Amino acid sequence: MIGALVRRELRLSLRRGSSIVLPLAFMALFVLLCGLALGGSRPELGPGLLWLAATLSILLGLERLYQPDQSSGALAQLHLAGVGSGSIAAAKAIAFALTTLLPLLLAAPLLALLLGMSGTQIAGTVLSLVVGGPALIAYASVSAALLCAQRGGAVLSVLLSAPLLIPVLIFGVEAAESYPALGLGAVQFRILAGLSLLALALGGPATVAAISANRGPA
Amino acid sequence: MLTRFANPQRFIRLASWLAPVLGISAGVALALGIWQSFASPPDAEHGETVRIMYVHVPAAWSAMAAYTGIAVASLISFVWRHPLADIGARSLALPGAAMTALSLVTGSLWGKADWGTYWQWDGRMTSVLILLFIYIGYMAIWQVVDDRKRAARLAAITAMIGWINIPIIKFSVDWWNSLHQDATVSSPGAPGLPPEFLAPLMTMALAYTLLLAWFVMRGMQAEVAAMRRARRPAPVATATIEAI
Repeated sequence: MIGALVRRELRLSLRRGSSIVLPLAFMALFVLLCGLALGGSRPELGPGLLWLAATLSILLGLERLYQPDQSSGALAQLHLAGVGSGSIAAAKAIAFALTTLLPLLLAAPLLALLLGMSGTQIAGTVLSLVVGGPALIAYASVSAALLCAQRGGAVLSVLLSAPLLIPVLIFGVEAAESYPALGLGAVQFRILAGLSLLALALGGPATVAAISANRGPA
Repeated sequence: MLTRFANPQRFIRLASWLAPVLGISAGVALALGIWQSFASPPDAEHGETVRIMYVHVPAAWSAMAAYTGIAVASLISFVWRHPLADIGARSLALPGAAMTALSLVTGSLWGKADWGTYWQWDGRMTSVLILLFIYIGYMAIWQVVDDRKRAARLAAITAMIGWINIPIIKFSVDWWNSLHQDATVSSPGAPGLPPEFLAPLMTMALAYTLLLAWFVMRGMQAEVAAMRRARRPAPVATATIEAI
């Protein structure tokens, strides 16, 4: 069931086209602007900038996570068809990761070269994004699900998820920076993995609760 | 206990005498605490700035207590759909946010005087700032979502997720090497505070707690009154022939 839902999500975003290209273009533009504003290649800022780009493009994508399906009634139809909210939440999260985080991860090495980062720095940043990604996705999906029934709720979703994303961002950058010296065993990587697991444990049930709270007429 | 106060009528009766009692005792405790704060001696190491502590520490404590109260009330509201729990949670939000802001402001004033900087991106300060944003997000949900019942459920979910920040605040001084000093009053085995500093601090903590309780009582009374007014049928046109 989850597989079918993920395929549906992917097909929808592929046909919309923009939803994969936009985060990429946004991220490239962001790194470009940062490079120009901060005065050329700043490899020491690289992990922070790439993490910032990842966080911002996830926040940008919040609006299309649940809102279209909520307002078109697709969520309600899936519920009537007997699909559990858990499957919906899982499928949406997986598809969201595949359409925002994955393109970002693939583009990150290229952008990192623009910033003048070294190979190990790039590897550390990409690995930290992989380890911390689930936390970003989990918190994004909770806050998107909470306000999906609200007109203009996307701005508030950003406000809600940003405080939850801050610890992930802090440890993500620290993990990326500690990678060249300490590798994957660094304590920052372990904390980041712990944050991701915690976010999944909290975010899963909370997303399901939010979907069902938003069901039915307002 | 839970079902006993499910009846707003019973709560209103309780609040009608409890709220003034809390308000007056908060005022008395606050006056006493302020007098004690100025009567206490300056600290050997920190000088007169030690008095900032009497405002700062209880504010931070009550900010965390208020958020924990919101989270517990949200759980009660979410699980048992208790009608007063979400009102209580909602009424705690604004005073809690104000306490958080107060602790941040006084903390940075202390920081400037004592550490030479208004702000440091360390664990304690950052996590308290995050708490302020969580409070703002929580209040925003109540503002934005029109349907009251739905707003209560969504706000409850938000409040419960946001609670993970509270242990982070509490233990941030142990987990990170922070400019902020470690827990002095609550850690067992620590030298603790000398009594001349502890006494005003404890009075102020009591005063803040009473103040918070008073705010919550008044907030809940206002909410119940607003709900009743909303439920009352709109006044029918009462113009009579005579009036015309």
